[in-house]
Amino acid sequence: MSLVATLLGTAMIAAGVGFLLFAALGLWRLPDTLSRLHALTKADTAGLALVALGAACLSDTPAALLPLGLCALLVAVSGATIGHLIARRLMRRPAA
Amino acid sequence: MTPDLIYPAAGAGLIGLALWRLATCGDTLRRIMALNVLAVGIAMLMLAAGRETLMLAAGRETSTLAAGRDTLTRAAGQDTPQTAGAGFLQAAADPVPQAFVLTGIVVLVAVTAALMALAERLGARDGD
Amino acid sequence: MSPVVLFDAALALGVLGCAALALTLRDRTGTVAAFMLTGLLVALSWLRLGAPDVALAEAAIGAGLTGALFLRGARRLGPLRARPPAPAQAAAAALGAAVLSAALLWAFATAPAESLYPPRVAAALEDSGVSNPVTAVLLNFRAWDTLLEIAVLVVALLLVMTLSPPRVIPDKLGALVQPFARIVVPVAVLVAGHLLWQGAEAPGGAFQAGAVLAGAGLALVLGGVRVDRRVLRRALTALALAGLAVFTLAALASQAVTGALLGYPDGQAKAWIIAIEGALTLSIAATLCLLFTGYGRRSAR
Repeated sequence: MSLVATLLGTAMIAAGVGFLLFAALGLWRLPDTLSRLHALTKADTAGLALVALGAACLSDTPAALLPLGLCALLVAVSGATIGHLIARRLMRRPAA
Repeated sequence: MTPDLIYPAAGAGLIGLALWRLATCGDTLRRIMALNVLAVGIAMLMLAAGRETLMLAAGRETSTLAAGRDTLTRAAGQDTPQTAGAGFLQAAADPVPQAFVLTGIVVLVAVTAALMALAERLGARDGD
Repeated sequence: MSPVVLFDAALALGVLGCAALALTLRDRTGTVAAFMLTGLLVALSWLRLGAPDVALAEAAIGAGLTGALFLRGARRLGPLRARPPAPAQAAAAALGAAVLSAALLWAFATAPAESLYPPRVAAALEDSGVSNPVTAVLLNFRAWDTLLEIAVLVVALLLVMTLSPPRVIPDKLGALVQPFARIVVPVAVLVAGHLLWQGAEAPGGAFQAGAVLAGAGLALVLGGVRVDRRVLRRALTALALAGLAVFTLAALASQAVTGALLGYPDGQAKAWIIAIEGALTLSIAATLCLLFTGYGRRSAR
């Protein structure tokens, strides 16, 4: 494994973890559900994709790319769907 | 506290927590959940014990996944594949408690489903 | 203190904290969310304990499906109404539980560790037909236990059938659910097949594959798939019972061929194991789906 790949991978994982940290912070500190959702879905998807990319750089075998790609895809798809469902629910019931 | 006792302590803590809740809470859903937590705590203790015995078989100082697999596959005359991140993943645990816990998880979800069906039935009678 | 030990300690504290939240929060949804989070953290900690097979099962079944069951129940049972216990009772229970926890930990720390099973499993692994020791134990050395476990699943299903809790009828979920199911369900089917096949030599197997497949089934049901309900449920019930039937037939057949119940013929163990596991995967998936969706004629959301 080359030094460049190691450095790149570590940097991407660090960036991804940063995204996830900010998502957690947003979830904790933001005032209402919609803005929390905003922080959560975007930062979550980007953070996990970055971590997966970084792990792909660190792995020795190309075979590891498939499960990592699948993870990122599934999290992106389910994150988008769940965000949509929560927001939709909120719009239908503004009082709650 | 030694690092080896971190997970056993978590398991014992989960058991204590679950038993406390079972003894003090009358709500059905919560009691079923406490039962689940109790099972998880017991499983945690069993798995931790299984790791301990495998370490004993492998020799105390070899605590990586590769070395753990090695003990199991060496007798079978196979090569051990080198695994990335072997330092982080621990030695493979004793397979027998693993099989027990796996069985336990599946039985537990079946029991939980049956209990929830009962609880919903009772709730319908009590409530409306 | 090394970073790994710090990670372990943080993870253990996280597990305990989430479990405490799950068992003390008064809001039903929050309780279930904390419970599912506990399941995921527990799965992570079992990975650290060197048990990836069990971690997979806990993440899929313990956190996912049990969480779904609790969510269904939370909605149907309504808000928490229980009175807090008398202070004396709470204190006595806390004291008793704490003493028991401490005693367990003390027993664990002082009991002599003896390595009984790993050498024997390692010695017999070559003849078991698979190289994943957990699968070897589940479907060869102690296949009996697994047969009875499937019987327990069937009994639970019968109980749920008899009680007939209201069926799950999903809300209308909007535009994104169908595309979601279109992506997730095929992927889940592929992942289940992969888990089933690789269970022979790597973490995975019938239970994990069945759980993933059941998850796909729930995604379809909650997505509001239009199928003839009665036909579908009959087919699923037949599938759920077929696993036990196939396993029992295999046990009897192996008795006839080799003279030992579930003792596979020499050299053919892998074929037998894969055949049984294939049937079990479908049957477990069908059972778990039915346990969630219920049987009743009445319906509730």
